[in-house]
Amino acid sequence: MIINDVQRGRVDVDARGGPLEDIGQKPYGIIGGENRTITTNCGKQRATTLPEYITSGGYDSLMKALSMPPAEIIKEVKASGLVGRGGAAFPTGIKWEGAAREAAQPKYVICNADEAEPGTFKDRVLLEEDPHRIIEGLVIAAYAIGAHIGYIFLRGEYTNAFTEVTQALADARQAGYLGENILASGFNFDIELFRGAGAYVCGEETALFEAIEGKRGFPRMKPPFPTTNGLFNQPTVINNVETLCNIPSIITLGSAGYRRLGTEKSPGTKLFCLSGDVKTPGLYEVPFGVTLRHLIYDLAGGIRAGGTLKAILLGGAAGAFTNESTLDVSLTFEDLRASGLPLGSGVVTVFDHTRDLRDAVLRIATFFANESCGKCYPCQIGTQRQLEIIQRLAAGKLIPGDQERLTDIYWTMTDASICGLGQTAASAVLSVLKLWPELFEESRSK
Amino acid sequence: MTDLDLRPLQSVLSKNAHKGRPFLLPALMATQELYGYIPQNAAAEVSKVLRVPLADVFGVIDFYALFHSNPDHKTVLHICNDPACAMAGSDALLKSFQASETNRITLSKKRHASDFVNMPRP
Repeated sequence: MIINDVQRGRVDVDARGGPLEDIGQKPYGIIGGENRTITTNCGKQRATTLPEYITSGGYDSLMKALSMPPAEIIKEVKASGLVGRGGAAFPTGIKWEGAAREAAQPKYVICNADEAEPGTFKDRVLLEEDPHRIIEGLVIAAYAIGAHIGYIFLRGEYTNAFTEVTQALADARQAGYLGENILASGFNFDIELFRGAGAYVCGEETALFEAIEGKRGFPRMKPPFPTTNGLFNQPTVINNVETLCNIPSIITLGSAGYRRLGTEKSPGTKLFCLSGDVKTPGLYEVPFGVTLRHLIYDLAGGIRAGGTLKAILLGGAAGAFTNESTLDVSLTFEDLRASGLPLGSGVVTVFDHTRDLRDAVLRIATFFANESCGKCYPCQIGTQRQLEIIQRLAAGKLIPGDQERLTDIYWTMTDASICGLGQTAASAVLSVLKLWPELFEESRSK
Repeated sequence: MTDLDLRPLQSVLSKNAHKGRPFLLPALMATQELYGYIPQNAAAEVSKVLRVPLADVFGVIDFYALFHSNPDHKTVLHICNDPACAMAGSDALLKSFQASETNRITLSKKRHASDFVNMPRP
């Protein structure tokens, strides 16, 4: 009986019919890769304590930052070439500069920890295993732009991270890294931990503001942008967890030191979330510029159980599928863009030859139909219609005109949605249509 | 639900009443933690103390997937069935539970619920 089996730590539920190893222990922190800058403290299968963080050099960057003029910090972050790690890849230094320029108070800094892209777990690992790094990055951001109030908007489902971050905030406050007169610098700043309530759309920055303000998470029109009119209509800097975790290194190493890893246009390291049919799925930190082949075959062990590669989903549900022809693409913003592939937040889900891609797109279409907030009709209706067509695909009952309808939905949603959800909801589906048209041919109603 | 003891909730609300509407999501989260769901009269209490129109409170409860306005069973299992988790066997897990424990457990087919089966197994 399944529940007794789970209690004994042994469940025979391998999707391909083989027995599984005992899963009695939660598989924390499967972390690998090269140049472990951001994830240097991760992998202990528990949170890094404050004393451990300090021993590893933690909060040294904050001390250094508080002795620099804010404008110099922004100059360093701009020079580092750091771009957002949440998927939109906006230059962080420019974002900070925009908010620093505003005179209005109060200003806010927010850590976007509402990670909910299917296949992404990088932020969860950082939140659970090195929360102080996130806090340090957020304090430096606040100091740079002149904010005294910060939020960590944490995905509601991340209950373990909630425990760890709550503890880390309390420890940081007690040690004087948060609160009044931080490290005798005269700078006041504190952070509120705000739990999300289960809406993927709240990962969108303006929908996130709406949630904190006590409303339904409908995104706002942009412009105006958050740096001038953000939370409570005030100047706001909002950054992804991984982005903030890069800040201490940039301050300590300087922009030149930081740029020693990665490429000219994509400096630094990136966290990739490997899942699916690879031998060692998990979190991998690599410098920008390694190939997809290196990530999947050298680091993640290649295809498991003697399978052969069929497809790779890059960027999560909001990304796109690709096949073995792009294995030697360099993982940098510029090279992926040139190949027409998304980086997104760094999801790499690998599908072997036994997988039915129609099942994968059905799950993706269901996801977007459920998560569409409903504000923009093209997305609200488009995601529903897309789901219906994909349901017909999965049942082998496509009707004449379905492919044209799907393409039309793709263009409409991409052009007419005010937020990234609608703009990317059809991306993965269209990539399957493009690369495996035979799936659609075979699924016509007989 | 006229015998619902609102005092624990009222204690949370009175400490935070000055925050007004920005305390709405935390208030509903606290209500959910106290009662297992958000009963109508608890929602009305939140509406009154935070001075948010009741219709807006219901709108927020309805919008967010973690808020339930109906009483749940004691144990709620969230099983993710997005591609990465499905490929690691979450569908089989879901089907096993559905087949065996229909009365005792409420099954919620959650998207990307990381705490249960999302983390790729070693």
